[in-house]
Amino acid sequence: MRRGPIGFVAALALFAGASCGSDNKTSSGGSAGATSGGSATKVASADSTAGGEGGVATVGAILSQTGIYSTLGPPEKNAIDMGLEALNATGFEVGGKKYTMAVTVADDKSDAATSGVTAFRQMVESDKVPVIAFGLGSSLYAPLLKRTPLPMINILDSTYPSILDYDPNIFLTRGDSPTYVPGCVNYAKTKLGAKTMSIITATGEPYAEGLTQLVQKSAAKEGVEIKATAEYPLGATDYGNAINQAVAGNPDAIYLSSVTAVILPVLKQLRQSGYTGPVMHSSGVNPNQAEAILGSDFNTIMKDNYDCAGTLPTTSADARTKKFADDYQARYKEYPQDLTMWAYDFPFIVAEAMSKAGSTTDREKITAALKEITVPAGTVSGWIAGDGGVMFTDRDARTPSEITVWCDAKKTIASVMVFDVKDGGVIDPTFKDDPCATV
Amino acid sequence: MTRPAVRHGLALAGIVIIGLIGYRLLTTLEGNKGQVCILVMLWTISTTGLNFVQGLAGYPSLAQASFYGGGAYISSLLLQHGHHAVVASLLGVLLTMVGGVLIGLVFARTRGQYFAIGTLFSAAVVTLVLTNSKGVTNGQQGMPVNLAFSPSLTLKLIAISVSAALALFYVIARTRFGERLLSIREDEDLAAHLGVPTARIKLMALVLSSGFGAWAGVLLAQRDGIIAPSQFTFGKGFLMFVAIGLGGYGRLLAPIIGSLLVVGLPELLDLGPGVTQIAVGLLFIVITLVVPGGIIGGLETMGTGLRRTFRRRSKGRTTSTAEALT
Amino acid sequence: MGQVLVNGIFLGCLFAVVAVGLTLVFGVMEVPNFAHSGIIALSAYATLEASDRGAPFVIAALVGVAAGGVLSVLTEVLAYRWVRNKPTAAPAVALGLLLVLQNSALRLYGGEGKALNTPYQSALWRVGGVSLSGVKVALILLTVVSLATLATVLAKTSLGRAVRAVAQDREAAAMLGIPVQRQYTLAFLIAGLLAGVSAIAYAPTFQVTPYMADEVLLSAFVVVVLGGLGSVWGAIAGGLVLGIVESLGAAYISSSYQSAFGFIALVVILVARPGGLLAPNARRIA
Repeated sequence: MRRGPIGFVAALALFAGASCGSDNKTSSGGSAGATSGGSATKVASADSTAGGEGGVATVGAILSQTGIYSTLGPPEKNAIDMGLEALNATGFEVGGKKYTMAVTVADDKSDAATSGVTAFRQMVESDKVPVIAFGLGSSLYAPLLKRTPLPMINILDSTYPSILDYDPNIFLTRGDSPTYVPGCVNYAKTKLGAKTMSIITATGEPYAEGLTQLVQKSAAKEGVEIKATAEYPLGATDYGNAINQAVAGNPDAIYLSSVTAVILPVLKQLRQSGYTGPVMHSSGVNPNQAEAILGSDFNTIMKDNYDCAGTLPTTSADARTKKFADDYQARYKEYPQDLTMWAYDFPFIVAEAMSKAGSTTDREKITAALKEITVPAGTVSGWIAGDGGVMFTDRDARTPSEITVWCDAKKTIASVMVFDVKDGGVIDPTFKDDPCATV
Repeated sequence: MTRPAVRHGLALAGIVIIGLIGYRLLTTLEGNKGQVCILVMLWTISTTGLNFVQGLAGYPSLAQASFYGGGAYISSLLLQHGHHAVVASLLGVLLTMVGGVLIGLVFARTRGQYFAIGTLFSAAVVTLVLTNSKGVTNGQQGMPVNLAFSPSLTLKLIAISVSAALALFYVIARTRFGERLLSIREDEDLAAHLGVPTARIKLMALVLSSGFGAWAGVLLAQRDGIIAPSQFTFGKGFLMFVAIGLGGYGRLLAPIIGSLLVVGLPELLDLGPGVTQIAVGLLFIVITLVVPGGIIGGLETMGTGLRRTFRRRSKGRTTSTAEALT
Repeated sequence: MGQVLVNGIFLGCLFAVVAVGLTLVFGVMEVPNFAHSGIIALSAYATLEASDRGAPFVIAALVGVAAGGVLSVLTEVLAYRWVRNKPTAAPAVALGLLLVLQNSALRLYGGEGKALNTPYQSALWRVGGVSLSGVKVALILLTVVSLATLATVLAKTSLGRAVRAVAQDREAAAMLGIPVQRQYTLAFLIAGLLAGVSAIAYAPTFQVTPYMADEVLLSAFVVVVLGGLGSVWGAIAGGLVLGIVESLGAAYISSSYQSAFGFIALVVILVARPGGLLAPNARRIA
């Protein structure tokens, strides 16, 4: 066997050529539709022509458009588009000049370690965006943030222990898990009369593992006995053994730890196995997802189902949130997931911080401004302001927590309890007597 | 100087130039191109190791990404426990090679596809362990790495390692060991019959490949400052394996071409979510159908053809015996 | 214990029906057909599509099975055929096909999980302390019926015998004058039909997504080796063994490492019985 020089030279040329020519230095100003780089695709702002006298402020978003988390990216992008249109209808003022905003969206392919980090470097070093919105991979971006600090706003991940611990540049626009999980245990005890519970949890999935810990803690506090914590590996497709283990102790309620796409198949097999008791979780399942994933029996499978999480767009008591939910549903023909309202608010939050910072490009000033801004006008999620009216408290902005119940007569969910959490215990709960009557 | 000496000299000079070009790219490229450049070079180091067992011996090892992960995790864990950078790096490589020995002891006796599946499942188990040993590896979230080398030193090491890996491959492929690996690929039964200890040779090749993979992993951890199981899944191992196939089994430069195709292209191509992956998939199929021997193999065939035509024109219709044998 | 065994048998049947398709293709062509999980996903979507357009379940299921067969043959005709004498080139093709198939499904139907409805999904039997859901019983029955049919075809028809001959030793088969090309296509057709069967049997217990079969495929590859390459009965036996081993391991040792128990079984069997459970050819070990 012989290695000819031709192959050698050609490979050399390929090696040099393929990664040479870094030609797409993008500015954060400029026309909205023009810049684009690498794996990033462009979301044009609604007003793509002029962009006010100040120009266009371009920010980044790294979302999971493909791969196993592709249920999250597309709705986030839809909602960001809507938020941009609303924001750009009037524009926002920075240092006396009017700006509009554009968002560069990159796909992390559900692989933050490889594609996400690549997109991050593109946005930070080449596109020079001042702010990035993202969903997964907080821990992976943290060391990169240490080298080039910039504010990153997470619009998804309430994993416990908090993602905010990874880096002081990370902000979270939703209540962290400890602000809603105790609601489930409290409700099970006080309203469902549960003395015992079992947990079925995915392993190798951080959100699920965090929820499981919180349920265990909360149960200890409330005096509810955990009969079993049954595990199955993430990616498993048959949960028979975990289900057996969980129902073996005849628990009064079962809590399912993990996200919608993971827990609904578990719920289905749990019901198929004959369990008829109450099921709780913190996944923000909506009726569309229930019907799509569970199939034609979804209404019977979802019976006696309780979801404790942050408020949802459709069940919210806030008129603005409700309007957003209706608009989203009308436009995209899908039920808005909880993360859509946070994604919608993202452009407003960034605009507010830029105005406060007096800069559309200075990352440090924008980070500082984010910590000081009050809840921006135009946001729809119903943020709970902190001391002094600030939006972020310890870099976490949150909406009220609630428990929704499945209404089988109407095949939908309704809010049954709204509450707050202090020191791991539920405070200020307000109940609806007949929640299903009003939906 | 004799002709072979000139040829070896030129080849090694070329290898040094590759390292220099690589270093230049590492220090000048920004953004996604910069990141892709790093990944391609690290994958080049790792798949050069794979090129021994898979390329020369024709044995499809799907565990290369696990060795890559082994180096990354072991060195990072040792650094975390306060060991010196050099000790941590060397032990990261050595302990991973011990892992290579273990996998080799079980599967080096098996043939062809059985070897592939054995290594595939070794890789699957490594992924499971990395994901589930939360107490040690911090699980899916990834593990922060203490940076023991300065960023600029890491870049230099990456560039030097690319050259060193390629040079080692060039030299080892020409030793008796390299010839024995080739003889296994040509005809394992015949090789065994002629007294080649095939299982032992395969084991050695696997262990050698694990060393290259582990070193690339050490560098990755130092460069990124964080490592996560998703970087070292059996899926990534399969990608490394495909990289050698696309580049050309046993060809010196196959790792570069293959790494560009499997890690570079999908990150840099931008046709929209999903469409990019479809295009990459089609490209893999087309390349394989057009040049089943890989791109370098295809280029060589083309080169040989051209040279022959050229010689025919200049020398008339004489074909040397040597030419016929290539 | 009874329930754990039943779950093991259920898992085993799933592994077996997927593995038989793989082992045939593996046997005739030495192709690690990773694209098989893409075929399973697209078969499930085809069934779903037909259901959504109002077809009764049986018709929709047949559409799914047919789609699996057609797609699988297409992968052979358009891609694998051209590298059949170069097994080293096949994995790149397999990966390429998998990317194309899965991402086509993603583009067409999105990444959200979807349910495949069946008439028997709410059925539930209790025998002693063991509960059996309709969908699991259906999977076991579908596996038994389809594999029994396959076994009959392979044993009783000349076409089947030829496929088996090629799967077990293609060089010898070629020397005996068996038209090898036709057997390749046939092997892919059978594999595709079985992919369709596994899709309609398995999707109702889980959900339809572009990535629904990835994990199962990995286990099915263990089964292929456990059973011995190219051996249909080996794949069936291997499937059951693996299903039960994984189920027992998950129930009594650790569920996080469920698939690792399959690996341990693989190592034990390869060391103790180098030819697999039922190996058709002895050339596996040097």
